[in-house]
Amino acid sequence: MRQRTISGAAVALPTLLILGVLWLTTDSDRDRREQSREFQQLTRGLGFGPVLDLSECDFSLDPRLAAGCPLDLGPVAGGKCFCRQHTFSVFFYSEP
Amino acid sequence: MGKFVTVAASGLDAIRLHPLRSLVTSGAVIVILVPYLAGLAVSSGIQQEAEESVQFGADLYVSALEFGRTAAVPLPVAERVREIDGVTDVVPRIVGHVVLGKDRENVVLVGLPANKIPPATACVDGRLFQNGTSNEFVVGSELAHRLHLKSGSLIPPFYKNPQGDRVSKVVGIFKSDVSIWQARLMFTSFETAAHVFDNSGFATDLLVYCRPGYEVAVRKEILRSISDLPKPDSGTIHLRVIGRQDLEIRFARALLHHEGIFNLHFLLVFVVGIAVTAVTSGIGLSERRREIGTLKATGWQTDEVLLRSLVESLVLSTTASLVSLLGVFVWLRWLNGFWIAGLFLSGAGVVPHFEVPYRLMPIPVLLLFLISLVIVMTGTLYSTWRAATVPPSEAMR
Repeated sequence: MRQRTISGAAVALPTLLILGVLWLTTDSDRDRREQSREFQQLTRGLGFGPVLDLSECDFSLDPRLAAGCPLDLGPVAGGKCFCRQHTFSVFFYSEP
Repeated sequence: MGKFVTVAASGLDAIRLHPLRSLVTSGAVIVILVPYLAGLAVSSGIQQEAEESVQFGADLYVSALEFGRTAAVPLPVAERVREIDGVTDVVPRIVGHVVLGKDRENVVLVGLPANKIPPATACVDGRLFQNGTSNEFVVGSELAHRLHLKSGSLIPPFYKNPQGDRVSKVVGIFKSDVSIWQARLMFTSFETAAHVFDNSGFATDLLVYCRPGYEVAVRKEILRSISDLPKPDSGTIHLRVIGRQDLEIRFARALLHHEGIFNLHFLLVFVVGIAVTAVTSGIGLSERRREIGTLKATGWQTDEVLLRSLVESLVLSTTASLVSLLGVFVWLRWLNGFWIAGLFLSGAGVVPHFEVPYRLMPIPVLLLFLISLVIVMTGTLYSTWRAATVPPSEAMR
């Protein structure tokens, strides 16, 4: 009896898990995407990186606005890490 | 088969036997996984918005370079670009930085010719600005909240211009779920932006639209024929052209995160997680060692002890992954990334006043399960194997 319960649980739990994961990972933000498209058409393409303003690094906001990170002191040891908007960036993209 | 299931089921008993240890192990894994998955989910959300930014943007972006850094483009360049075969439209744009309010809020000021934007849009509460130097602005949701602005609000002069500083009017607010880059935006006409920056006759970039298939040829022609412009005083202005393909190439690189410290940081955290699990699973828990010694003394084989431990690890890591996944979902969707969004999105506050983008993609979720399994199993199986391979009398000591 106990073995049957365990076997049932062994099948049911992963099935439920997979269904839950599929539900969570389903893209349900269609309205947002349409509004985002409208915003991009309005501003003609603005924004690329995980930064909301131009206070420190234009490149982190949008590589179209700057040729590179202004705080990038490349030849200095760890010079690329002086920009706090790059250091822990969740969306890293390199300079051309 | 029956014995196999019985041994495997004893792994569940092992979880119940040490509830505190199970809680600590799962808790440690959850604490590690939640920020990691949240970071990956936000990263995917940003990428989706960035893809739309590239897709619905111009074909080519022309800006100037001085001393290796981006500079303003003289407006007459737009006329020369327009004459190139294959170009359908050229739109000058100003994108600049201003500060507003007593707390000196950072603002991205964008100016576009009013005749180049649609008369109405669904992404703004209120209306769009009028043509000319009317000093009418549409502001972002985060900015509106921080500066207590709404449609109809007046902004005292925030810039210096010899022709006179003017009071500005807010005519619309971007909806909070439109895009992250609207959050600190002030959107206005090209003339108003030029007036604010006191820099008429220049644009920060020219947005070039081409006939399909002409992008490469137009780009080459811009760089060949008008790359080096003589400046009014002395020297030359070099042009820089960024195409859609240049940006699309970056998506592939962004996904790898190889150079980001984000991954390096979490690699170290995963190592610490394995050490913590090892301590809670046997190396630091003498009671568990004695238990394994007792099992061995009563006839259990080493592989059976390891199978028991494997099932225990599998259940613990699956539980931790599931809780982490649900935690991230709740944190990003229902709590809108409260506090954590500020870590990943520079410029967002503790309570973001815009909808934080995220996508829980299957691959990061599978990665989450895998990492969880590796952390728990590495910590658990090693300590179990060490306890199971010594004589029972020594393990029970």
